[in-house]
Amino acid sequence: MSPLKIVAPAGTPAALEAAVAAGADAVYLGFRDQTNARNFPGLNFDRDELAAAVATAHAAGSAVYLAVNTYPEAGDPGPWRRAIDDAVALGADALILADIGLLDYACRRHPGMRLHLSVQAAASSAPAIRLYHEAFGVRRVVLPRVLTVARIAELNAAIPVETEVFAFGGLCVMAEGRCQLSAYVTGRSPNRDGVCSPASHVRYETRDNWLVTRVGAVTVDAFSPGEAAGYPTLCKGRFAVAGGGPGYLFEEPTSLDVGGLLPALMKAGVTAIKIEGRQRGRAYVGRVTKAFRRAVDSAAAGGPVPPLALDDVTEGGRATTGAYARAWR
Amino acid sequence: MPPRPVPPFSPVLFAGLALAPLPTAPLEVALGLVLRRLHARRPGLFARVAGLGERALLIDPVDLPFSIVLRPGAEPPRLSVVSGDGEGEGEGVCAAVRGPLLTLLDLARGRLDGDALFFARALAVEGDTEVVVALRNALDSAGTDLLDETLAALAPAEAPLRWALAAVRAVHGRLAADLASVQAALLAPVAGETARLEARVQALEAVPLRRMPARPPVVAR
Repeated sequence: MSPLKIVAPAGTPAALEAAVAAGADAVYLGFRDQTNARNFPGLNFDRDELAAAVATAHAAGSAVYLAVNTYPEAGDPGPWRRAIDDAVALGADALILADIGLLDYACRRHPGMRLHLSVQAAASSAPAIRLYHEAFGVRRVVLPRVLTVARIAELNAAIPVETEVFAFGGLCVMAEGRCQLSAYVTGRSPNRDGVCSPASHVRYETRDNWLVTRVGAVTVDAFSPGEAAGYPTLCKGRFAVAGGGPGYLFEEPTSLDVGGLLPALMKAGVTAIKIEGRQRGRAYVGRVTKAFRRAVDSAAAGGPVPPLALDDVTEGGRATTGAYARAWR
Repeated sequence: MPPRPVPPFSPVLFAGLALAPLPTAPLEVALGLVLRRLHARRPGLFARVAGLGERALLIDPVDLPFSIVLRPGAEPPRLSVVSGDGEGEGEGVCAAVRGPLLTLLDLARGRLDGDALFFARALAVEGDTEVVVALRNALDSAGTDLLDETLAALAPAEAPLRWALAAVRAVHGRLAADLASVQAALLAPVAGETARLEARVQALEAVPLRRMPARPPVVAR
């Protein structure tokens, strides 16, 4: 079996160098603005940094994918189109897009450019993926985190494009690109402004050694002394509901980890695995990428998947195989 | 600001106690010099936090008797050293990061992941998260070891400082192990009592709850 390609995150040039050094086949990143879905303060690349990143990655045999995966503001597609044009001019190897207007622009303006469909487009059925391929020439689709491995295998047999699946890191429990929770509370849309639970709206407080997390005016969680904490997202908050104490309404703080499923994903015809975490530090990127490099190489050689030993970097100190192994999905 | 977290029982804590009577002014001068030289050498790092303007972050090594108030987005960036946990200090301080010195150093050196430390509660963050996130990302972006940068910035003193650090590293591990033994000896009586209480709680939890009498029916009057 051909080995899965590893697509690693980079929020900074240092993280890109760590990913490349750890053996990433490709690194995905975004510009320092609202055109990508990790628009956090101090993060991402300017144009000069992208040029340098492309040179660094190519010298090591890695590819660079640029995410332009938010949705343009009505009447003002300029920043998103400039991001596409500049990424092509600066030598990026693929564009990760979600909006059909931008897909149309990219395939007409840059016909030779490799286009990947972002998970933000939430395309999970064969007819939807075929449409993106036929209309815009999309060559790879990043699948939403809602499919079992068996369903992914069926999908791969029915579509003419490569598939990329999330392998490790933070989980969105909603249909990507459709979630309005953060926008409802903060007034800033993850799908347009590129940031879920924007840092400007997040506050941490310590009360009697409890860690209290707030997003806007909403208290999202309160972690007891010593309890492992999670990201300040509404979908992973604990809320008191009528007739009961506080509990997780949607999903618990936990990270995806498909280390044990790598042989099954290869057998299912998946082309690439994606590591989540452009907002994480270079230490995380280097360590997770290295662990998956070793695991993928071993699985491709028919050997056992070595333990990834990444528990200490998981959200809430816990990991899950998510929908991949959930029979009820 | 909430009370300062309890520091770890470590050699750094004892070193901090020894340093407590000393004035903070020389440290402020040295760290200010490091900041100015880092600003000159790594303009891209500070460009990432330029939007923060005058907003200040309190960096509190909880095992040392001082904290640092840093304005990374000011032009030029500035810092001051304040005594204790910085409570009530520094105009414009809108966020704080607190943790053991060695953890903060490893974070600044790019050896640890900030989110993982936060999940594990090894770092405490309070206040305006935007300031904390921006600075963390900026520091991480440079791909540099901040300790090396600091030593290089103190150029004439670089060689002796490296020698001193190597000496500290050499004895730190042994001191930490010795202190762990002392801590275990001091806590032994408490640990025994805790184990006894825990066993008692478990035994009580194993007893089925007595059925509560049913509530009397509500009668309309």
